[in-house]
Amino acid sequence: MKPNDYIFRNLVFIPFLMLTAITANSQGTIQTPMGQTISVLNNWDTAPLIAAWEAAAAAEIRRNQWTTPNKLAPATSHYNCHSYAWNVVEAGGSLNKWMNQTVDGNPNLSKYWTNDAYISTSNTGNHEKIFYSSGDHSAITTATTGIVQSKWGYWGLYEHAIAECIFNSSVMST
Amino acid sequence: MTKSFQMGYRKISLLLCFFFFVIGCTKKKCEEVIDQVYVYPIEAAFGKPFDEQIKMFKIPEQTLHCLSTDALIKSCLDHPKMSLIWTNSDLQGGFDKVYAMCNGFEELFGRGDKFQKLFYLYKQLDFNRDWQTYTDLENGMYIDNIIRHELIIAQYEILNDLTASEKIELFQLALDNQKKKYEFAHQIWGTIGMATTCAILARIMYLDKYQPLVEEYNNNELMLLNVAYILDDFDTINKIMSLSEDYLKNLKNK
Repeated sequence: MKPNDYIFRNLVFIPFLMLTAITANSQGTIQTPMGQTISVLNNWDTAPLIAAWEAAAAAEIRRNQWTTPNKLAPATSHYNCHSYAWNVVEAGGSLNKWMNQTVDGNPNLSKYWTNDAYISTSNTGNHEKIFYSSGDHSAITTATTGIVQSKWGYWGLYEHAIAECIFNSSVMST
Repeated sequence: MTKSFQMGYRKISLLLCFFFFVIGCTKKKCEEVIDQVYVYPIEAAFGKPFDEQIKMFKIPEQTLHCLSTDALIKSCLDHPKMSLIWTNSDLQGGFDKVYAMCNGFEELFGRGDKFQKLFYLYKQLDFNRDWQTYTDLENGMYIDNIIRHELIIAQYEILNDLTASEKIELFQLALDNQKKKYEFAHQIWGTIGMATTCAILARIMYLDKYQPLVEEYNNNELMLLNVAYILDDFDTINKIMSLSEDYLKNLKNK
C-alpha cells in the first residue's frame, strides 16, 4: 500500500498552525494553513442513522475477524477521513466539516500539500498525515509503526493496523 | 464463371462463419428462472481475507443470468458488502465501490425491466411508519434499506432509460417521499438521509436540461455536489425541493 500513499510532514511551526491552520470560516469553506480555500459541508446526524452505521461497522469488523480496530469516536456525518486528518486532528479544528477530495474534478484536499504547509516525505513518524491516492482516504500515523487513526466514511473514528481496515490497497484496486 | 462461383462460395462461407459465431455468442437460455434471492456464503467467508471474501460473494454466472429481475435486485440490496456505501466521502463513491464488488449490478443494469421492478419495490416502501414505536437501530436499518433502493434508482444507468411517463411517475413519487422525509429530517433522516431522494430529483432535472437547475449546477458548488456526488447540505435540499415543484408542473403540462 505504501507506494500508493503520500506521507506528509508538517513543516510549519505549531504556533503558526494554531493561529491560522484550522480557522473555520463561513459555512461551506475552511482554510489551509497558507490560506487556500477548502470546500466543506455541514451535516447533522440522527440517532437512527448513527445506530445503523455503528451496527454495520461492528459487523464488518467481526466478519473480517480484525483485532486491532479500536473505536475512538462514534459514527457521524459531521466529519470524514479527510477532515479528521487534515482539519479536526489539529488543535481547534471544527468537528462539523465534511471535506471532499475533489469538487467536480478540481483539487480540494490536495491544496494542503500544493504550495502550502505540507510536503511529501518518506520518513514516517508520529502524527503525520497519510493520503491514500487510490482510495479517497486519509489517516494519521501514531507512535506505533503500522498503526494509524482514521475515520471510516460515515462510520466511526478508529485506531487500527493499516491492513485491518476497509481501505486497504486491494480494495482500492477493485 | 468459375471465378464468380468461387467468390460467391467465399461469401457464403463467411456468412456461415458469422452466423455460427453469433449463435455461439448467444447466452444460454435459462432452463428455469430463479425467483429466490441469492444466498451469499457468509459463513464460509467469515474471517477470510477481504479480497477473498469479495471473490466468494460473486454470484456464479449461470445463476446470475437466471435470477429473475426481482430476485436480482434483492440480491444486490442484500450483498454482504452493501453497507460499504457509507465508507466513502460521498454516496456516489460508496456506490461505485460496492458496484465493483457486486456483479449483480452490471447484470441488473442490462435488464430491460430494471426500472419497472425497482420502481415497484420502491413504491412498497413505507415513508409514513410510526417511527416512535421502533428502536433507533430498527429505524436506522429501515432507512438504510430505503437509501439503498434510492441510491440504485439514482444511477444514470436507470435514469437514462426512463420513458416520459416513467419519468413523471418516478419524479412525483420521489418528491412526495422527499416531503415526508423533510417532516422528520431532524429526528430520522438527517441531511445525508435526504440526499438520495434529492439526487433522483436533481439528476432527472439535470438530464432534462431544466434551465433553473442547470444554472444552479453551474453557479453553486453545493448543487454540483448533490448531482455528482450525492452529498447535501440543508440549503441545497430546500433548493432542490423548490425547483422540483416547478419542474413537475412543467413536466405534466408537456
